[in-house]
Amino acid sequence: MQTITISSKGQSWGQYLKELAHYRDLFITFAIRDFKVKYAQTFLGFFWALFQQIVAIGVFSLIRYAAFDNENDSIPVVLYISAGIAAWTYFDFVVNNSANSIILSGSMIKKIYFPRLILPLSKALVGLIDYLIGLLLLALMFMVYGMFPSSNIIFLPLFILSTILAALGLGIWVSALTIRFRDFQHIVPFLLKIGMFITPVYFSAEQLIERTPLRWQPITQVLFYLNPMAGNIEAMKWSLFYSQPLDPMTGISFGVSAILFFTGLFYFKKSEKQMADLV
Amino acid sequence: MTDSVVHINHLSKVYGLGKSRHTSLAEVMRSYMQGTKKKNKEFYALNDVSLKIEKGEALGIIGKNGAGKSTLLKVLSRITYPTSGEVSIRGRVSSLLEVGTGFHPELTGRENIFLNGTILGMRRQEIKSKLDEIIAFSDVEKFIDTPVKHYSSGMYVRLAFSVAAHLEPEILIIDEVLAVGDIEFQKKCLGKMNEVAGLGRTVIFVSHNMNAVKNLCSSAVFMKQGTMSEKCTVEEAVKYYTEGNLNNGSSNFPILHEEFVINDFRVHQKGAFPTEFNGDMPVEYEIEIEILRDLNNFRIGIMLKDQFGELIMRSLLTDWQEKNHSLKKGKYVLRSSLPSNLLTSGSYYVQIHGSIYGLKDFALEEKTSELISINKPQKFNSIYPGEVRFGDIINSNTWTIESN
Repeated sequence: MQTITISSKGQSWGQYLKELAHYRDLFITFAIRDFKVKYAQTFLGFFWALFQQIVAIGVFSLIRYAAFDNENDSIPVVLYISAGIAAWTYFDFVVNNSANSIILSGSMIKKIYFPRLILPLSKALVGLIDYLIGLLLLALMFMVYGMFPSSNIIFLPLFILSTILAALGLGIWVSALTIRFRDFQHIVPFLLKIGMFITPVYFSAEQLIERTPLRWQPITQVLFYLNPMAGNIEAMKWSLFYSQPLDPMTGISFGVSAILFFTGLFYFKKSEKQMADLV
Repeated sequence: MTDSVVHINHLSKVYGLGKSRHTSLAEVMRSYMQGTKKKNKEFYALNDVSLKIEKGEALGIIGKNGAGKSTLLKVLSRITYPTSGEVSIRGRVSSLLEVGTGFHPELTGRENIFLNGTILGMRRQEIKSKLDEIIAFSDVEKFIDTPVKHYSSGMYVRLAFSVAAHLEPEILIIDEVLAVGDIEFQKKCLGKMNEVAGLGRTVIFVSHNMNAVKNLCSSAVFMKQGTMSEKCTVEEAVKYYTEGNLNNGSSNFPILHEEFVINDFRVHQKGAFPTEFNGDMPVEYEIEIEILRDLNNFRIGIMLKDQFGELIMRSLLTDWQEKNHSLKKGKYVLRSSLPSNLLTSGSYYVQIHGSIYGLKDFALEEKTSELISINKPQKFNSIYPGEVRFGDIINSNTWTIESN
């Protein structure tokens, strides 16, 4: 028979992970719920998700044409941008929805026990549907242009995984922070909006660095890749379109993604004890 | 080795009073710049509570609102964490602090069974195997594929409860969840729970419904201001509760308002404060009030509510007397009563209502709430085996019958 001990110290990590595994069905159920509410209940559920991404691709292509010199492009702009949009849409969805996931489930949290981490985790799973739509759109685009992805595409799953880590890491952080500081409800959507413009969705890191004065270039590069999505999207595009070696500076982003994820877990577990008292 | 499945050891839970419970960034910055952390007043929701619950025991926890019952259940259910002390629990726990937790209005009944079931800790596989049984128990087969937003509240509760009733925990924690749904269905659920308790499982039950506690529990504890009595029989605990209610009641007074002060509120029968009121006699009540300035359209009186807090009846000073609409400054005692032969047996709340018509509600109800337990009038023939539905009100007019 299992014995549980409840004290002010909370659970040990071993116990915590065991509980998470035990509640895996709830994780699936939450994801199914969100999926059904988002896609199945509206008549044009899937269409809307697709439509949003197409519009985003259109708008950013426009910006790209207006703001950059595109004569040296080897990759069609629309194709290039749709890769970034797919990844960013996922990131945006997961962070935005995780941020509110705890507060919106407040009534549940006050009435029943389950590992609270399941809430942001399930958002990361549901978001994959949008991601998949984006990737299908991308595949379609490749066909339309009659192009083949680079052989580096075998590394793509790795970068998708890293994107999930980054989105989830930040998502876990803000979901726990929002409980304590409601300010994050306003900060997060704002930052995501800004973030989209400083992330290489519609331009490349190279383009940005080239235009920076020479002596500022190293610092710009570091700052640029501190944004976890900068490296993830650069690497994703690399795996799809290019064959020369990947810029090692993208490693900064992967490091940041991992750090965000693990510190996020740590902070979340710490604040989990007070969630029912605070929401 | 004892047989206790729940062992509560010097458990305390402290809340900070006065500060808003979610601090904003601005507040954090302010306290950081001032270099001080204001020490807040502390409130002990649970104060050094210890208890052992044996396997197969059905324990009732009773006490007034704010006595710490719900906090205790929340700690036992791992919703909130204690400040100090420890609980060890052996066995699978299910807690029902509410039925239908997590129900999503847009999803169908069937989908919500899965949602709610997994929230309560069931496996999807387990739910699948019990699905037909759950649906049958709920009596809403016809609408099982309709989104629950179209359900009536009764159907909603039935569905929610039948999910809960099919949990198979070793330890079941229940809080007031019977406070919803119609009597017939409550009875069915109580039966189902009795079944659970009968199977050697442990039940921890919190309720204001003394009859339900008496029916279900083998022992009880009484809670007051975060502390807990020794374990005793249900009868003893109910007695504590009723006495505690009367003693505690007076500590709420005087209730101060700009316009008036309520000095006392007593509910009694011929000056006595019985554990159980006699349904054959009127239930009397008195309000002692001091009006501080002349008041117009002042409405004062009582609200009678059932054990679930549903309003049954109001009785205001102005109901039959137009002239009492305005009250002059001064001290008054207001007396009235509930007629004899009015209510079926059960627990009822008598609460003061005070308002200025159209302008202000003084929200006195919660502060002045008196819980009374009434026995049915001797002559009222209610008991037929299997009969559960009487409503709250007895019609004291009799039938005549003549052959035609």
